[in-house]
Amino acid sequence: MKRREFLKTVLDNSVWVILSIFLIFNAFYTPRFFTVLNLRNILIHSSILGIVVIGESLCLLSGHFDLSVESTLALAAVVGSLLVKNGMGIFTSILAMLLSGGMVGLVNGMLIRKVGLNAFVATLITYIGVRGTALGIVEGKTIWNLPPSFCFLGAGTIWLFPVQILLLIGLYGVFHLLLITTRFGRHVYLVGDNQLAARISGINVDRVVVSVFVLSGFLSAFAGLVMAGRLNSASPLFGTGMVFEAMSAAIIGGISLRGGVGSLPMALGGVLLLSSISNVLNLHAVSPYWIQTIRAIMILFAVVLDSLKRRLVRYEE
Amino acid sequence: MLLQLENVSKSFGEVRALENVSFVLNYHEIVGLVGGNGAGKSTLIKILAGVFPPDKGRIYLEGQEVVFRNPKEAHNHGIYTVHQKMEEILAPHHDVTANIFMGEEVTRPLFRSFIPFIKVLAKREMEKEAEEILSRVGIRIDSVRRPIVSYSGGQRQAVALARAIRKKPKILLLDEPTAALGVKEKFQVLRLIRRLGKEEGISIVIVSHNLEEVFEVVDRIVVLRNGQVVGECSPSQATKERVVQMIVGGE
Repeated sequence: MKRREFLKTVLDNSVWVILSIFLIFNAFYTPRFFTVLNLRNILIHSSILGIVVIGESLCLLSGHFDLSVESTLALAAVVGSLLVKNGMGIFTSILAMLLSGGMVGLVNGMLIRKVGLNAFVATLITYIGVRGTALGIVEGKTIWNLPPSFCFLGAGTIWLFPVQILLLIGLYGVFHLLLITTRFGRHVYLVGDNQLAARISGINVDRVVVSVFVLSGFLSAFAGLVMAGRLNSASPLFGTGMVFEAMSAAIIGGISLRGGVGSLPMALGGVLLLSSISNVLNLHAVSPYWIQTIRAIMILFAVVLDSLKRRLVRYEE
Repeated sequence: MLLQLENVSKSFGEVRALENVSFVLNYHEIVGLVGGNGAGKSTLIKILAGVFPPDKGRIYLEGQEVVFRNPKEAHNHGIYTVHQKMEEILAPHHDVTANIFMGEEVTRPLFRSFIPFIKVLAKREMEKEAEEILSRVGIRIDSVRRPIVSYSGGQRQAVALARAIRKKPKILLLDEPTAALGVKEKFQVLRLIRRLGKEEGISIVIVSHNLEEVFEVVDRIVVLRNGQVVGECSPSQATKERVVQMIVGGE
């Protein structure tokens, strides 16, 4: 019984265990891995994906897919940069960006709850449509040379710390607290776990789902702002393929695709693990083509661990 | 009399599901509704639960006429239904407390003195109340913090019942409450139902196919056949054979 509890605790925190082993192993066997500069690099590399993963995780926890995150990111980056280049104030531009993301989320939520589309189909529509809109607005061109204040969130530092890293930590903290301490957060989990039960007990499922998608849209747009700042440019092709990375990270972190199970810190663990792996492969000068293969193995591994954990908790006759 | 139905009829197209049914439920009484398939048991219970209104007839609750247009209005009058598959109304990966309080979570202000509008879940209070309810009705469960998936079918049903009890119902409608359970668990749940009726003073209507269990718990049996009430008896005075005869009809 004791051993079982211990095993469960380990499996509950599997990402952190694997991440620690991975870090310790590479501290010895990968030259220049365990340096402040490199670790900082990993964190910076994680920040944009990490912010997108928060939104994606919110949707997954409520039992829905959101494929549109990467397109929303590109749209927001393009919209904000275009406005700021055309003489609009920094704050208005940023506000417009975030609103564009929120609008995409609202459309997703409405398509799912009011029109009654499957989340996969609804967000596939916006995934394609929003990317198209982003490309159309700037006719496929990249916008260069953004004002430094606009780039602060993506490239600035506060004392010694890059703003991106602080944002990553701050956002994870805030959203984790939102999920586990508030009624809204509890309802997100409950809707994901058993939507019918949630509805019968008087939870406003429409409101929860639409809010989750709007939040996801806001977060993706915010990630777009950080990305534009880091690269000092905005391209309508930003974040291509990122939705799969985001889902991988969430799954590796133990968030169930069926909804209702998982937590944000674990998803962050997934993000950090993915970034560390690509980092190590880079340091060893492994061809980037292999990264995908390794990522696939990681996901397989995570899913196997997850089913093992479920078997431990389930009631047995 | 807690609840009274007067000449209630309900048709679905050509099918007459209920015909001039009158039915009484007293305070602190457990009534078993029995009958064959299509006798009208479920229709009767759904009318009481506010799922659909009757075509004709009146419903009186504590002497006052009431009309339920939807389940919510029935809830507001203290009438709750627990369905056949109670598990379907539970969130499997959430702990017992979260399930008992689903949709009615208790919150407290994060900082009482300033910014009182930021509210967080009062987890301690909810856990304490959940434990109180469970122990009061004699449901034994190791921990309210463990998820529903880690409990057996009977325990899950018990949690579903505990959730209904927390709402302090006047009337509990149970639709085949033990249909999906094993023998041992069936008796645990039946004992729990009996206890709710006697100690908590909740009036209960049970719909069941299973005469054994009806005889085990109810104070009165009402037999329906072809949408009509064809007989009433108390389990201490009638034999099962007599009830079966009423269910199938003929002499």
